[in-house]
Amino acid sequence: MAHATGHQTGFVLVGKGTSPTGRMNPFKNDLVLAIRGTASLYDASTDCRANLSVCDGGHSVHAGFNTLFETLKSELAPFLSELKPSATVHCVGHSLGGAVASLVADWAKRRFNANVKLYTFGAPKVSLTNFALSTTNALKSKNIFRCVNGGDVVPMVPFWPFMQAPYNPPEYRMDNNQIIAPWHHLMKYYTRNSQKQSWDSINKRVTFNPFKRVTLDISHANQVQPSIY
Amino acid sequence: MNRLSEALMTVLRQAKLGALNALQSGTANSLSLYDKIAMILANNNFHTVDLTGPINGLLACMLAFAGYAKAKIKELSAEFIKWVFEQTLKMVNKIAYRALSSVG
Repeated sequence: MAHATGHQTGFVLVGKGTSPTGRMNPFKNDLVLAIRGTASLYDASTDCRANLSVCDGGHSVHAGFNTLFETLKSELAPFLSELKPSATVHCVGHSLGGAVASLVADWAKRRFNANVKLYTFGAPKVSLTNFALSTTNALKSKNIFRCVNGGDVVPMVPFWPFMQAPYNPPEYRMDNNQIIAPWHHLMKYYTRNSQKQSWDSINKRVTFNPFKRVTLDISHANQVQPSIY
Repeated sequence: MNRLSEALMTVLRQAKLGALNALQSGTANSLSLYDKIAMILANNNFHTVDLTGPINGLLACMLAFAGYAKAKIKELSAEFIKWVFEQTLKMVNKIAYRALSSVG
């Protein structure tokens, strides 16, 4: 599926766990669905279409991501329908790919009742509260690895009422940077920050809590800048 | 058809208090979410406590975020609040677009 023809580019790379002769492989028969992120300004227009549409689970989700996901479904279905019951589907994506991976993970769980793990890197918010809650409960928060760089703005958008999954549990904070800058969204910084780290050693932080009480005073305004707020 | 509509409205009314109003206001007019929020914030008849301070604080921070740090808040009209939201969203989109363009 990873091919390029004219203006169409492959979005998903499918990998299957195998067992070399004489070796045990705990990931045998597992599927990895690696979904690519924003690679052109055409993809950026998909990211910026923050209208709502209804996904096939009946929830309100980002129209641009959902349109892209709908075009991938028929190609992914044969792989998922042949999945062994003990196997796990690992949905992985960066940026736009992470957003689509969230929709794929939810669909694989509901439609195929598969064991699903979701790994997103710098992924924007995908849906309103209903989808975020539903997918968190369906996948279980321990199977959702939402990784963000501190200075990456993309996981903070679109603005509320869009929400991220996992709904309330903390996300994996790959660094302690607080200053927002465009380059923190690059995959190479995610790769650098995740090298030689186990999941347990990465900081976790709740960056958006819908139940947190925040009152701003007019005197706070002089502290506000687009890069640090 | 009318009877089906009436039955649907009846079941929705029984399912959740206020659901009909919420659904209608969500679909039957051309107001955006931020139009509705601006109207709620501007209409202090329904506020349970005096929210002038927190609303002023929120708008001042939004204006500073959007690059209008020196702007003064003179009135809390729906039009003004909506304009502040628009400027804030423009800045959010600008920053996000810059980050996405750095990848593309």
